[in-house]
Parts: sequence; C-alpha cells; structure tokens
Amino acid sequence: MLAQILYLFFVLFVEVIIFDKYRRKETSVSNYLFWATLWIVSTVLLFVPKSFDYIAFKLGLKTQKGVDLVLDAAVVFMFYMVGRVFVKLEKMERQITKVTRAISYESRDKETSDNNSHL
Amino acid sequence: MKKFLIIPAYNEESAIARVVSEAKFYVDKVVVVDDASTDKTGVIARANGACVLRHVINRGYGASLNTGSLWSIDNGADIIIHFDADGQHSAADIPSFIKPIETQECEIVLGSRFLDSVLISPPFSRKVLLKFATVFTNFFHGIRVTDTHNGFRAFSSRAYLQMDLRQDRMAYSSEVLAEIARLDLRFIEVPTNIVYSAYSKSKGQSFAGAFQILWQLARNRLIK
Repeated sequence: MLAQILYLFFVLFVEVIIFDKYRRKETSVSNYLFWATLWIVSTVLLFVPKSFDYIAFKLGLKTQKGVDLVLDAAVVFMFYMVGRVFVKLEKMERQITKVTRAISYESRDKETSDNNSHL
Repeated sequence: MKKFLIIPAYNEESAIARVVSEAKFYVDKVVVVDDASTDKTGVIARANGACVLRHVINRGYGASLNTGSLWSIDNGADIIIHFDADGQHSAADIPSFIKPIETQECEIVLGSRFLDSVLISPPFSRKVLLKFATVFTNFFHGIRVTDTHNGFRAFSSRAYLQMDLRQDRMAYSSEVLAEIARLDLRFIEVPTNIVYSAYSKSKGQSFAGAFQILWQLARNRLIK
C-alpha cells in the first residue's frame, strides 16, 4: 500500500512537470497528451491490476493476465521508440555533415577572395 | 580533361607534405579535405600547394571525400581521383590509373592490391579482414571486385554525380560499390601497390572497425 501511495505521488509530480513543459510550449499538445495518458494508465494498472484482464481476454490472450499484456506492449513500444531515435540520429548526423560542408566551402571562397584582393 | 585529386586527411602532418608535393605533378589540382585535424595537416598541405577545405568538426572519411569531390566537380573537374593521405599510394601510378576514364573505356577505376601477385601482400590480419569484406560485399551488393576497401579510386564527374553517397565514415567504401552495382556503372579494377609502413599500418582498419562498417551499412538501409 505504501509503495502505491509513493508511486501515486511520483506520478502527480511527473504530471505537473509535463504539464509545465506543455504550458511553456516546450512540448507539443500531442506529445503532452500521450505521456500524460501513459502515466495515468500506469497508475490505474497499479491500483486495479485486474482492469486490463478484460482487454487481454478480448484480444484472445485467454491465458495471459492484463498486466502481462501491458508489459508485452511496453516492450514492443520501447523497441519502436529506440528505432525511431536511431533514425532521427542518423538524419541529424547527415544534416550536421551538410552544414559542416557548407562552412568549409564558404571558408574556401572567402580565402580565395581575400587572396585575390591582395593581388 | 581536368583532373582533381582528393585527399581526405585527419592528423596527417607527418605524411601530407610528401603526398601532396608528389601528387601535384600528375593532376591539375590537389584538394585536401582537412577533417578537423588537431595538428598542422591543413597548414602543411596548403604550404605544399594543395587547395584545402576544412571541416570545422570531424565528419569522417566518407564525408571528407564527398566534400572534396562535390567541390571539385563544382570547380570544373572532369575526373576526380581519391587518394590516401598516409602515403600508402604511389602518385606515379596516377596517369596509368586514370587512362581508362580518359579513353572512355569505363567511368570508374578501382584500385586492387590483390590483382597482381607481384604486388606487396598486406599483413595477414589485414588480408583476412579484407577477404571477408570482399566476400560480404560481392554477395550482398552483387558486384565482383577483389579489393573492397582500397582508397585509390577514380571517377568521371558524370558518374560521381549519379551516385547517392550518404555514408560519412568508413562504410563509404562499401557504399561506392553498392552504388556502382545499383546504377550498373562501367568500372574496372587495376592493380595498385600499397606501401605498408609502420605509420600507414597504424592508420588502417581493425576488426572492430569492420563491425562498425557493417552497423553503419545496416542503419543506412533502415533510413533510405
């Protein structure tokens, strides 16, 4: 019971932080709603573990409990998010290279025009 | 035909002077891409007559070659030649190396250290690594080459512009071959000698580097 109460306070704390980020426009509305909902769902699952058993049953997972379904879904979701981060990182690396290349060309052009003006 | 030699360089102050001063007699311009070296590579290259492009942050072998190649084509190059900065390649080989492009026999020339038995054989561990890379590349990209990671290459500008080269680091070499296969570009391999000094051996690929290349290629597949 104590662990549940501590977790509840932690979730309230996190909800305040993410709402503050949304209020300061540091995150989009869709991002805010997604994470806020996720934390609320995790709290519901903690206090009412059997609440997801019905969903597991409806999905045809007759021998699986709702908690297991949520954990499996969480693992799949994490793999997906990691994949997205990799793609994002790769795209950023390419953009950094483009900028670095442009700076090198500009420096070269400037050096050439400086040399020409000395002549 | 205007010939530009592109040398990607990172902390090569001990070798770059000799490489540039020997190569400049065989080409119209030597372009050194200083990949954010922390030593005097760029200064020394410029003092020896090279045109230097400097990356403000280190972007890697492939990014440097792309920077130099695209700049060269923008500045009138008809043939671009890739050349290592560590003195492994011999500048005297350049005229015969690019002759097939000048005579329009092909659009791309790739150097190979395994085509001629009189050529100096690489160290055993390096040979094993290169053979594995060759088998892997031949199998996955459908191209038949004998040396997949030889830094001595030449392209007609037309051929280079057709290629979609995105790899910034060492996987660039494999990507070049993949693009040649994808676009069905005419290429030949010619024997080239690689000088294995203690210095050049210290600069070469390791086994860990090979896995990094595989990882870079796999990631590229996901993004493309």
